Amino acid sequence: MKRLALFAVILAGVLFAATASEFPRLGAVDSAPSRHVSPAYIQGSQPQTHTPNFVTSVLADYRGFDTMFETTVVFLAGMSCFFILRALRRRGVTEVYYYRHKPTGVVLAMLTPRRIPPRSSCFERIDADWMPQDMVVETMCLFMVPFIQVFALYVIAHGHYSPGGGFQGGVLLAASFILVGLSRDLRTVESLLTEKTAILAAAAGVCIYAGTGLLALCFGGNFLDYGAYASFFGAAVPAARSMGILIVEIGVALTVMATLVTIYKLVSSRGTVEEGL
Amino acid sequence: MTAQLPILAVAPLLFGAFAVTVGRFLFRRANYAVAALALAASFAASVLLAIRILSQGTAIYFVGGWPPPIGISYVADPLSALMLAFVSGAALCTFLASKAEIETSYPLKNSAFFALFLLAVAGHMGIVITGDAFNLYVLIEVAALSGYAILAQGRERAMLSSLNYLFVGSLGASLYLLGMGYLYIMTGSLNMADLSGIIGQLAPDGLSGSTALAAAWGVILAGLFVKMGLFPFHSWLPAAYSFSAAPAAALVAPLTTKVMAYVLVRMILSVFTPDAAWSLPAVNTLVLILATAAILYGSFCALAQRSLRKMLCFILLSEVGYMVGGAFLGNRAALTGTIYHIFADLLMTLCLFLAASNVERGTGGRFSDMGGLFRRMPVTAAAMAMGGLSMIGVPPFCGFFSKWYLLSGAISAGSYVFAGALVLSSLVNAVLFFRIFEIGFFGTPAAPSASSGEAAHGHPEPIPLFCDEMPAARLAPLCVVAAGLVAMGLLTGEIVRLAVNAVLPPGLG
Repeated sequence: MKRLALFAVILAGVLFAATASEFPRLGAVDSAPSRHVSPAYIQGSQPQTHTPNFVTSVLADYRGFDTMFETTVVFLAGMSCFFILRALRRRGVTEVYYYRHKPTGVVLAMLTPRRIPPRSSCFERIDADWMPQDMVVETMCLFMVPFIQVFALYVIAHGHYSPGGGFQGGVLLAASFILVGLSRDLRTVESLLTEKTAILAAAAGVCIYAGTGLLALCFGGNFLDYGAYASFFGAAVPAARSMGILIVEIGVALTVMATLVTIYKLVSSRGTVEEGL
Repeated sequence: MTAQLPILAVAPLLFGAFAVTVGRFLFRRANYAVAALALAASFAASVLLAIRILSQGTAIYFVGGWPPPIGISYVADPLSALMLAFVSGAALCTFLASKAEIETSYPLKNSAFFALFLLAVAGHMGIVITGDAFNLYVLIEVAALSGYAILAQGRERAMLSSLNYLFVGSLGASLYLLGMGYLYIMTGSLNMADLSGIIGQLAPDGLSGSTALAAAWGVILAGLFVKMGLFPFHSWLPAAYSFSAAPAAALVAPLTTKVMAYVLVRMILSVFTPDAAWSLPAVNTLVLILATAAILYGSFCALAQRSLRKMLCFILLSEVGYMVGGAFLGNRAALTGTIYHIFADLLMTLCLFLAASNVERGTGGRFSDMGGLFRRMPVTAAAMAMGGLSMIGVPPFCGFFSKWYLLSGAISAGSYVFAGALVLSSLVNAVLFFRIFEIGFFGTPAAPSASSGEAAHGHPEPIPLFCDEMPAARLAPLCVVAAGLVAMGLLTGEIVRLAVNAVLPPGLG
């Protein structure tokens, strides 16, 4: 089987190498891609959308419809993970809950969790495979979180001018939550961003994107035509387009963040969202 | 507002999917109604669009207000508008018919299933109407990803089969994307109409003049064949569709293969133009051989099956062979047959899968459980008989007319092997369905849950004379689809004139 796979890979490689001889040279200015639509984007981005970074204007405006569906794909990935992995009803599994008495370090194993209130001052719930936490690691990681989040907001907001945008910013935001999960435990993440909030945020993010598109119909534009908002914002069409790009990028960031955190929680806890990595 | 109809056909599904996701926490009981409403709204918009396009001609919708090569466009021509109505109608029928199944198959995850279902339909509809080759790829992703998820829940090896489908399906989508990469580097465009113009200039004498374009066509074809399950790339299909829960199979089975065949036709008509697409004799011959093999393989494997849904899956494989073969015979009649068969097969598969899910629920899916079916479930059995007769190709049903076009196309192209395979597969279908009819009419009903207890006494359960047909809410969509088989057969001339001839280039021989 491995040999067959190797053979297939080599064959495909040879075929692609053989058919690539007609391709234009890398970066050739007279090649078809650089002559056909690219000049329109490069020259039009600033005057038409007030966005110097034309990657952003292609992504979120000229071809914003693709990006809307890409965001839907991210949302879909989260929903698929939820649909397949989430263990909502567990049969025949006896749950054991572990509680650590903070002053003494004694750990109680209990079958009924309600004996101890969730926010007890002297008991804390711990995972089955709990290990004494490293204070240095935990403190340093929690110290980094606000910086990561501020940088994420910068990446989202500055997408018009520099590399960045909703996807990258959303991933950074999700990374900050996952860092909390790695350095402390899943329950802390769950208390910061509950499963319900995350699913609602993921849906809200795509809704912001698609809703921005649909609302343009009310202002007489086509779907996703941010220029139609010019009268609403009281600004010129390019400025309205720039504003539209920012709004949809925020939607993308929300969906990406919430979906990645949801997937992390589901995968790391085998679908229980109780305890895990 | 009529100018906005192309987007209004897809948008309700998207917003419906978000609404049911939120509805999980807010209005759980109303969620089914919300999802049904979204599907109904989308169906209504598609029908209005189809009526408008069939009477007034093609409309192009600029998404974002940007004209085509710069932005993305939706192209509603007679073919895509009619296909859109069929797809949304099929999804609505499946959804209405399988309410009880959805509630029992996904007990606590109804809302997630609704969201995935709606997005799957949105993906398929977007594939049909888009005029942009890359947007088509993104929508293939949307349709496929939701398909993998909803097919993963079911009996026995459903999860494993769906994982297998995911690997193979991702390979297919990647090949399509690679082909698009080839086309983009050669032409600099992603818009279908624009692409076809540039390809015409780059390779005026057919694709043999340009290795890169020929490779692009080959890679795209390979990707589409994997996605639609043509013979050597079919192994994912029967398992994925037969182990999953019934509503998922009844949605995905009629839509995915047909929509992928539609993409193949779109590639031939709108991206490469028929002259260029058929300009490589080696490719044509190879595809015809694969299609013939698919027809024979599907038919004979169907003979070996012991359960209804698995048999339908193998029939589906041979139907894919019909559509692909017809698209590469290289004449007008055969291409007409392919396009007509996409519509006809969508209806037939839908009818048979809906009937099969009723049968599975009522008696069990194996042939041995289906004795006395016509007495116990007369309406379901009648609908299944209509679907079966249409698959065989009996005249008033639409299946006859697509076979007629395909056969005449094959004979005028001189491809007698393909014609022979078509006839043989019809005969095999006749054997398959008449075997079921025989069991249904004359077979002894298996006594429900009685095999062990009653047998011990030596008294076989007497044949129950009662009729335990499904409730009317499940039967109504099935009856509509079954009636649609006859209606479509009777309207063949109109469909071919309005939707097929309008999109085929006039010079096509």
